[in-house]
Amino acid sequence: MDRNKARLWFIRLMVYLLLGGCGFIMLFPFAYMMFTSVKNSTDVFHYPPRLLPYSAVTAEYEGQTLPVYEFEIDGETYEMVLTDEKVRYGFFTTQENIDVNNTRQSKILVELPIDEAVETEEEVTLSDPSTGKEDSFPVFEVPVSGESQNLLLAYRSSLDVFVEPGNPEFRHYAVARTAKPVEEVEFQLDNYDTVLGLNLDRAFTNTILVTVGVTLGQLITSIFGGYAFARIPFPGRNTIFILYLGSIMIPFVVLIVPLYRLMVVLGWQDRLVSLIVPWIFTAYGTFLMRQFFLSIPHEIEEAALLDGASRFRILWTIFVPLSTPVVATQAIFTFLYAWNSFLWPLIIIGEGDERNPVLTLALIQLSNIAADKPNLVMTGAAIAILPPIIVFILAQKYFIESVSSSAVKG
Amino acid sequence: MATVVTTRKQGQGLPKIIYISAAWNIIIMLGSFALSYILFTQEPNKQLKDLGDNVRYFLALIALIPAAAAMYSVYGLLARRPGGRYASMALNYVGAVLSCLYLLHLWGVFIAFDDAGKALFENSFLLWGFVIAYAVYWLAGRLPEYSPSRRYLEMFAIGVAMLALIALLLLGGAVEGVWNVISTYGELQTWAVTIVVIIFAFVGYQILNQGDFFGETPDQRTSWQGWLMVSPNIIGFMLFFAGPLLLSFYLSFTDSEPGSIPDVIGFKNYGDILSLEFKTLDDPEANPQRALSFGYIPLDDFKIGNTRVVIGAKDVLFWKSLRNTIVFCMMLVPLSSIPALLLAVIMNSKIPGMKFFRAAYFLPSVAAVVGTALIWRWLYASDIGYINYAITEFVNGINSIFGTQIEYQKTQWLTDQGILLFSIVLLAAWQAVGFNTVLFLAGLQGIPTTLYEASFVDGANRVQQFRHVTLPLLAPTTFYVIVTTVITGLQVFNEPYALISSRPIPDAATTSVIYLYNRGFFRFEFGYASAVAWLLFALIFVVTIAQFRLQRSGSYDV
Repeated sequence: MDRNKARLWFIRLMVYLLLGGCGFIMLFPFAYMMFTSVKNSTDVFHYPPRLLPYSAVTAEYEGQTLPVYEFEIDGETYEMVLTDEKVRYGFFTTQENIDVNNTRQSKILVELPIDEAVETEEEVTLSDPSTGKEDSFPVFEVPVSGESQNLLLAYRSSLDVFVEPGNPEFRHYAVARTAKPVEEVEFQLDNYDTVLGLNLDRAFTNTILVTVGVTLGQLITSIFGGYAFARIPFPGRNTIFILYLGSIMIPFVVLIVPLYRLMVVLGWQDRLVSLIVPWIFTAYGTFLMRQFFLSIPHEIEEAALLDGASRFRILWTIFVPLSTPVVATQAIFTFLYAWNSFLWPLIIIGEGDERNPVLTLALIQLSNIAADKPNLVMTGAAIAILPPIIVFILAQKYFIESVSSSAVKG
Repeated sequence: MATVVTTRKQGQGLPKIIYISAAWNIIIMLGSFALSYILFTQEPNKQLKDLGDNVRYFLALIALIPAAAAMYSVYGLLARRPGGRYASMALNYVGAVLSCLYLLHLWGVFIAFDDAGKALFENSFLLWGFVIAYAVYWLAGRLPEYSPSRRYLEMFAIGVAMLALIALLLLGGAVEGVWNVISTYGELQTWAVTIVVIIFAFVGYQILNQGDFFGETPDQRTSWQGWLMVSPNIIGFMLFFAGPLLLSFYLSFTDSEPGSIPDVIGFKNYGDILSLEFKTLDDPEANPQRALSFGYIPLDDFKIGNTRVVIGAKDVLFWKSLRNTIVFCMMLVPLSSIPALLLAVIMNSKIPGMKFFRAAYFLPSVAAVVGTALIWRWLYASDIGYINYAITEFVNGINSIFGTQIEYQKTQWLTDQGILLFSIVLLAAWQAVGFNTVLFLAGLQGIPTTLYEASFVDGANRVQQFRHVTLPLLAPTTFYVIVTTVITGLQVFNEPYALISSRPIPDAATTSVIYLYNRGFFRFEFGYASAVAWLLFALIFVVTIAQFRLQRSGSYDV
């Protein structure tokens, strides 16, 4: 019994691990987008990559704002600012420790600013018999723990000077490039302002206009059409319905060239109207409405008809109020379709249109002009992606139900 | 209510409106003839001219339809036939709609969407009004039903939304817009069209009211109401679907190119696209180009025994794009449906938290492909991207555990021509898996649990249940998933276009629709592009039909 229970728990654990792992894969790109959208332009290129947005910590020193670095000296950690000073630094050692072929590989005994050592007149020439390389090294009097010692200068280098702001006497010399900067988590919300300023604001409102226009238009045409196809017997109804439904079979790619030509004839190219008016007629939506209206009992309608109500009145006062779920479903699908559509706007408006961009176009444009700023591209992506996601979270029920029903019917 | 019954004897004369309508129909007839004649003899404007003479002739023929309808309706009206009335109603209705559309065009309403966009942009702060209204409305929905505070809150929300809308209209320049419409009346044309609209509407309405005179039955009344209700769909269907479809078919047989008027060239486009040539080469080292006829470029070559076969094509890129598209679909279908099926089966076992996972998996299919493709572009980045980082860490982990020395050469997901297509498939599969999971879940929930219980009693284990109960009963859903995946896969465009930054898009990532786009909207070879589109449609059609056949003949019929 206990073994069975343990097995059950083990299976449960595995199931959740699997589901969680898949969930991680599905959601991680969005997390990446959100976190990258608030990073600064240097942090995005940090390797290994990290999710949280980090910024370099700065401190005031002698009236300047300077980046802070962290050093571990004699087991203690110090936070120091990088000054713009440089110092010539000498690396000293004995004759035996010098590697003539590559002086930087030599074993260094003492390293300190070159000015703290005293140069002597002497010079030692060393050579490697195997490679035949020969070099001469100046001899310095180097202070080593209070005493002066004669050592060879293996090589010299220019190092950055770091200072502890509270204790300016305490200095440290290192290469800034390889030093470890002190960083803190900071959300660069300015990115959103920057990106909106790159014409994404206009694209955003345009997209809202187009989406609202298409959604309202489709709802109106498909409520009328759906009602007529579901409830009004008229000669030729079935033929038209099948023809209309058959149009779903025709892929959009067949229509892009002639629709483009039609828009040119109408003078609608580069215009927002071309994103709205051709798209307010939908066979799929009409079908969806028809299916729903078919499920409404006839009795309700017949009573109203006997009372002399007109068809339009019946539709408006009886059918429309009853069809909130299907209207919501269709509205959501149309919203998504219009909000995310790309190929048609690309053809009819094109990339880089200043006046009438929609979000998907502006996003592609942004990815071109900010090709080396992934943080800005992710900000743009977030602006385009978040509204549908919010709608999805608010109206999840309708999404899942309608997708499910399409499969059962299909 | 008193009803006035007017009886009219035959021959006592028809109502005046019949004569007016008949006269108007004659005018329509003459107008249609005139339009047809104009279209037949001269080029009305440049845009139409660019489509070629055949389109013009076709439109001239179309213009004869209202002329014929008008002729018939004149006869029918005067002879008191119901058909005459219907013809007249249809004629006046369609005339009113079309002339109204033209009037809106003259008013500049369609173009004004751009100004509306600008106005919305300049007053975008008002959009918060709708957000607030929605939030309040949502809050009101939490309150108990029929409570007065709920009603007040709802009314408040509606009020806020209305106010925002009105403010948007006023600040957005609705007044200015109305003034612009009025100022279009400086032109005679606007007056003329307005009058035509009014006459159409007036005559149409009057004829509509003559139902009793023509002895209309309630059924007939219902009929025209039905037609009226589907009319927006039909008109839209004609204008934006059927018409363009015909035009596309016509263009595919022409050499439509920028700067020239298209000529019909028969099947030349189709021939050029589909031409293939198979030649054998005796010398394995020879240049394959030598073996091919003029105009053919080597597409591929392979060996059968010792002879080398060279395949040449006139349009190499078409075949490459077709191959890419088919390979894309063949990878996409298993990658997006098998994980979805497994996830659905797991999630179907009613475990807590299932709804959360379902929503999480569904999320990618909600987001714009352009946006997600850009995210993946950076996840794929070979030096700083997370995908290579994860693989590197994984390899390092393996190395440290097993003491192996595997070295991972960072994959160039987006520049390595051999991997590029696979990278696109991964993105597309990621996007589609959740959607398919929801579809499979719906299918699974339709399988009666008694079947599982019965099979359990028979001693079937989980795997056997899956194999012999789940799979067969899920066949319709599986079929639906595969068909829709293939149909969308064959039309893939957004994913490669947005994922790949280099232009032109490399051959390895050129799918059929990208090829079509390049031909049609980069080189503006509309005729050729249309032919490509129809071939693609034929392919989609054949694949769909084949799958239907497979489904029917399959043993999993339910």
